[in-house]
Amino acid sequence: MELKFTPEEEAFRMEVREFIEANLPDETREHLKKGNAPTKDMTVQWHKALHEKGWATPRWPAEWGGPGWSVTQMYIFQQENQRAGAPDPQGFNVGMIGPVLIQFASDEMKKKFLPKIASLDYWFCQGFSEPGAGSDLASLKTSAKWDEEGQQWIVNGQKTWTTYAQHADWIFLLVRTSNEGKKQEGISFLLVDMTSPGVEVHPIQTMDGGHEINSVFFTDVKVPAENLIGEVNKGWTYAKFLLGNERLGAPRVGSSQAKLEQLKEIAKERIVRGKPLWDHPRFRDKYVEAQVELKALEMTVMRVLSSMQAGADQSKPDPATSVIKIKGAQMVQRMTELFVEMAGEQALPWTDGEEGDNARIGPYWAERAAPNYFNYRKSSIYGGSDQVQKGIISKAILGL
Amino acid sequence: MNFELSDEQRMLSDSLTRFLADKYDFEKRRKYMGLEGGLDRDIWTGFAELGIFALPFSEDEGGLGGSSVETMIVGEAMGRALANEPWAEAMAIAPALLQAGSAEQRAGLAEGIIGGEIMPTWAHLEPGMIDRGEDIQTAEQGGKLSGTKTVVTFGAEADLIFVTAKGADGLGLYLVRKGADSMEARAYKTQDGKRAAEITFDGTPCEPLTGGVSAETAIGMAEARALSASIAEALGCMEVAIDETVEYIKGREQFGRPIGSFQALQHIAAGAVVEKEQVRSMAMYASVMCEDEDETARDLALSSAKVKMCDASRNVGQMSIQLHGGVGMTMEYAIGHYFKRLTMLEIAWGDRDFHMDRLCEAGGLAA
Ligand SMILES: Cc1cc2nc3c(=O)[nH]c(=O)nc-3n(C[C@H](O)[C@H](O)[C@H](O)COP(=O)(O)OP(=O)(O)OC[C@H]3O[C@@H](n4cnc5c(N)ncnc54)[C@H](O)[C@@H]3O)c2cc1C
Repeated sequence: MELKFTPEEEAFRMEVREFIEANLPDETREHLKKGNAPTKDMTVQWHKALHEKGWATPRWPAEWGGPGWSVTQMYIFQQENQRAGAPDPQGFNVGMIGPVLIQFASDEMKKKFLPKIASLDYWFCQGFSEPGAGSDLASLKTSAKWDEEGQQWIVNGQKTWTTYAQHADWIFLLVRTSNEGKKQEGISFLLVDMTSPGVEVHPIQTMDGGHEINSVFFTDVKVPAENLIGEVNKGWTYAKFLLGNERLGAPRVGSSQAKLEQLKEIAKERIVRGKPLWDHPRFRDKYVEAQVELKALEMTVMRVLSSMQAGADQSKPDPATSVIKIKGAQMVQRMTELFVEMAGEQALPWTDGEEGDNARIGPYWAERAAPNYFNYRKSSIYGGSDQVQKGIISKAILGL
Repeated sequence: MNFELSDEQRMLSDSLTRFLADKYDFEKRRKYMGLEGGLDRDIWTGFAELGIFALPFSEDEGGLGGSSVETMIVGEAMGRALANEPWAEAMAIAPALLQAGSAEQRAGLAEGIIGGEIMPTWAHLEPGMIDRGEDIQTAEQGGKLSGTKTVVTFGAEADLIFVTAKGADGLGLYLVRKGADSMEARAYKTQDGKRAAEITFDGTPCEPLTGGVSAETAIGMAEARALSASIAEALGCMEVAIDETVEYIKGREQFGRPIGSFQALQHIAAGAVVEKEQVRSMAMYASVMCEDEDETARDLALSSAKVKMCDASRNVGQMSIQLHGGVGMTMEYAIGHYFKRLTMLEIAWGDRDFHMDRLCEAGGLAA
């Protein structure tokens, strides 16, 4: 057991830090520091910059363009990227569909899709949830019927909560291909071009006023046979693998660390009832408690990565990822609460940016405090809610 | 970075676990607790024969030169078995305190501890010294100690007592042998099945530890290592508390089915797993950081681990009793004993408030 980083690893950290310092556009950095989510352009620009450097797909095998990093290097990269306030590489591509293709798709399909997924020439979105199939994902109804004549799949149905469908070139879909037997056994995994006739995207506004989620409707959408991943009716296995990876990506430790740093910096300046907020014991308690929990989470994440590196079976999700998902969501949410609490009444104005009639009133960091708090309630709902994760722990770890 | 145990470390864990399964099940533990002094010296000798006491001592002290990671492994196993013996005094505290002594003192005492002939303890806290930083009142003058020490683990049974006291040159560490003159030990049982003593020195002859690091440095190391060991011990307790609870709710039937099939209970148990896993991470962090040369970084890291441990130990301990229902309340069932040990471990080596204070004063962990 060795938690200290070696000189080589520290040198790698400096290399990553310097690269980000030299290449991350100031505009992106400033935008994110204010608590905004990156725009599509910002994510694409940064993803492509990382891709050119060979760093956009850290966990992919070298054969498919991964950098061949150790788990420690992956961890250092992610932490540095998040701490610098840079956008993450596009997660649906890098953390979800890419690994599924690598693990389960034919060579032909890999060759066709992986390079464009890695470079973000194809932006993928995730078409799993439906109005009637949320936590009970396997009850999904969107159907793909085999068209013998055209040798293709015909897709009908509705997906919902689809993040960034408005940006997407492609969607990966879970579809029903059989109604026989257990509902998990009639599901297949398809890749669908968003420009196909019959695909329609409808925006959904979230309570913070943002537009990141959508409903996606499919009416007689024709999908070529070769866009099916692996075998027909085996989609559930691939989906479970994907969800395990999604959970591992949930905690965003580096980002929370950066938020804590920012919180401290601001609290030292902010005068509340005659003294800096930082000097108020109640604030200090909350800060330290959050920091303690985050440190434990950081160690838990590293521990799971380390056991993966040491050869744990990677085709099945490690139930410890459910622990990480629950704590990760909690920490992300806790950070947003602390910002609202720090902002106090300055969290009230619903303003928008630097200029115009509805320009910002309070400090730069307070504008997004409340919207982010509202928005991040999502993190304990998506990717398998807290209750779903506890169900997984009860069954897979405790055998209940 | 690497969180995996080496093959030797795995073997250590296996052999100690086997020994404890064989010699320290719940019924045998009850028997040992009923013996005079609350322990069976054969068990202590057995630990020594397994070689665990040699782990933390350096090679020139006659030991194996292990690290606190080994102490963590031992602590987790001892926690699982609810072992009462002062193993942490031997493995975490004595090797650290001895750093204040000369090479001769170190080698001589290490030999006895490693072999199991010397069971050591530490008389450090004093009545009213709830806040650990307060001044030590016990004093040494002309080779004699006077003062009162409180909650000295196995204080009446230990062969060797390390005593913290003020000497002519400030804070010092002194050795007192079992049965020394002018010493009175009022022994009692602790809430969690150990023994402890209130010890009064009234001109008790002692030997100073000199020739090594300062007493402050040695005490800092001892407290850090003891705290780290106790977090590992708590982790072991939490694991068994969860296992026992899960076994129980699988078997207990109400409303015509196992109560473990009720989702409300499943989610409580799953929540406890989440907390326990966070403690496992912190136990590893603490075991590595307790040897850090930067004392401030070391102490803050340990404080953060302790705060997490306290919160998790309440969660796990209380849920275990709740899910057992009435039988959880009984002396007969093991679960209550795990709960009691967890509760006492929360208090040991600085409670949550103490460690929160230490962290808050420093402005939190270093970034
Ligand atoms: C912002 C956001 C972005 C999203 N992005 C995507 C995306 O890109 N692609 C995609 O496919 N999906 C996405 N989702 C959907 C997400 O995965 C679902 O919301 C999630 O699976 C929960 O389903 P649901 O909303 O239907 O809630 P429901 O399943 O109806 O759950 C409602 C409540 O009941 C609880 N519950 C449900 N079943 C049980 C049970 N058996 N036991 C105990 N409690 C239970 C849940 O935990 C929750 O608290 C997104 C969601 C959000 C909020």
